[in-house]
Amino acid sequence: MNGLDLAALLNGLPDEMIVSANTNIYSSAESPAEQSAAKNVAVQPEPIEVSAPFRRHTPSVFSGIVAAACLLFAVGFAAVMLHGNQDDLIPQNSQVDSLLEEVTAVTTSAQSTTAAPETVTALRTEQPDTTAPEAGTTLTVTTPVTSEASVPVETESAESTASAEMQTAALPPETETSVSVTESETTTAAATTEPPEPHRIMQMTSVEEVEREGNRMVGEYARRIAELNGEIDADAPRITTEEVAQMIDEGMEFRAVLQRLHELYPYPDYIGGSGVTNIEYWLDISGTDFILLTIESESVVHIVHHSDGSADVYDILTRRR
Amino acid sequence: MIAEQYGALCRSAARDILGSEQDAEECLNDALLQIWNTIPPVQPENFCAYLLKILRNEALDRYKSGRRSKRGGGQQTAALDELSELLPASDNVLSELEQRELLAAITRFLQSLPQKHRDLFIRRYWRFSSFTDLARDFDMRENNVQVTLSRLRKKLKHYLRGEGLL
Repeated sequence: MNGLDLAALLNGLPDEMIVSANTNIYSSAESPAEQSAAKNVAVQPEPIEVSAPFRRHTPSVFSGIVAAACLLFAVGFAAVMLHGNQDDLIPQNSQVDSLLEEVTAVTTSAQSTTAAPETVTALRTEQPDTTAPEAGTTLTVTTPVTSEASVPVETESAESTASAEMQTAALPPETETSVSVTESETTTAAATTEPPEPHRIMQMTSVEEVEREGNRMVGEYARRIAELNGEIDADAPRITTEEVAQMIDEGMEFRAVLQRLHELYPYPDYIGGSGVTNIEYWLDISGTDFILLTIESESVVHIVHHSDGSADVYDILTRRR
Repeated sequence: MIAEQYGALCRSAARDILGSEQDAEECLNDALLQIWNTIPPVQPENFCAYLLKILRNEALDRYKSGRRSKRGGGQQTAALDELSELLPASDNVLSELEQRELLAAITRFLQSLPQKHRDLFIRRYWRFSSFTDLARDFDMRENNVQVTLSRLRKKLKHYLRGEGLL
């Protein structure tokens, strides 16, 4: 890794850090030119054109006006002190209080108005979910039940076939022949296969813990949070490589694939990234086998992490083209 | 509308990275086009940061492609050299997981800094601002800026080493 890579990595710093560093101002003036301009303004006030007679009498006129103002102020103050009733002041204070209350109310409503755009994502799906804690988070707000219900039956059978094919690869030779013939046999074979080791995120049982881990990893484990919040079932269907491959076979471009996956699986397992926006859809609870979409590079890849630390990466988009 | 609201900030950031008005303008146009192509379905939580990040990616791509060598430049190379000091010389490509760990550690380190120092670090190594600009914007002397950044780099290196990332 060199300096350029590290510089690219820094693009993944939290949004608020980047915005504040780019907008905070620590100096009194924007530029030396403005500073010197400010000094010039202070040193050389703009001259006021006055006529000669007025100028000649200006000191006495001004002193007279100032003296009269002082006198009036003193008289008024004395009158208030002598004849004024303190009760007269109370309504003024209460007026101020009511005004403050109005301002507070307006501010509060303004804040709630400000929060409104956060539900835009929900509105876009025509299934607003106002109970979602982070409705503004990208790709996390839709109604999962609807999405699952909208998955066609053919897709489900495709999932079964795909999972059967994937399990086939992991099974010993003697079980290979029994798989891939019928669905019932596939189920039998799956029952005899050891379930994948759950990813540690899947073992976390509190939303705070998952959110903390998400922050640590510069992203969000959206699906796990949705599961813990009861928004989707823990055994809700997962994406399959066949589904993605089929979309690409049908000629769908990256954005269309992204949109389609968002409709089918509104809660990706991970969304975030360092310098880029990565969206991970895990193929199982282990989190070692997943589809990765990178928005900036418009890539769709299938990654399999092995226990020895190595990884296989298949570029689905390119392979299918 | 985006150009009106964020145009000045984006131009300024792109100019800092690329060192040229013309490149900055082209870069901003490309970034706006990219945003047009990604929204929707992507709906960023913080649009300003999203825009700045896309702009910076675009600018870094231009830097890599060597266009910047024709015009302006200088600050990026200096800042990148400073960043290189943080890491041991290696051709190894970090895995996605390692990159995330490294970024998370850098983020934690920056969060532990006073706001001014954090902003100074990001302005130099995220935006590649020159020492002169930083001295002006942070009301410091140029020498102080250099010394402060040098100390921050040392602290970060020490921190990353402590985290087992170096």
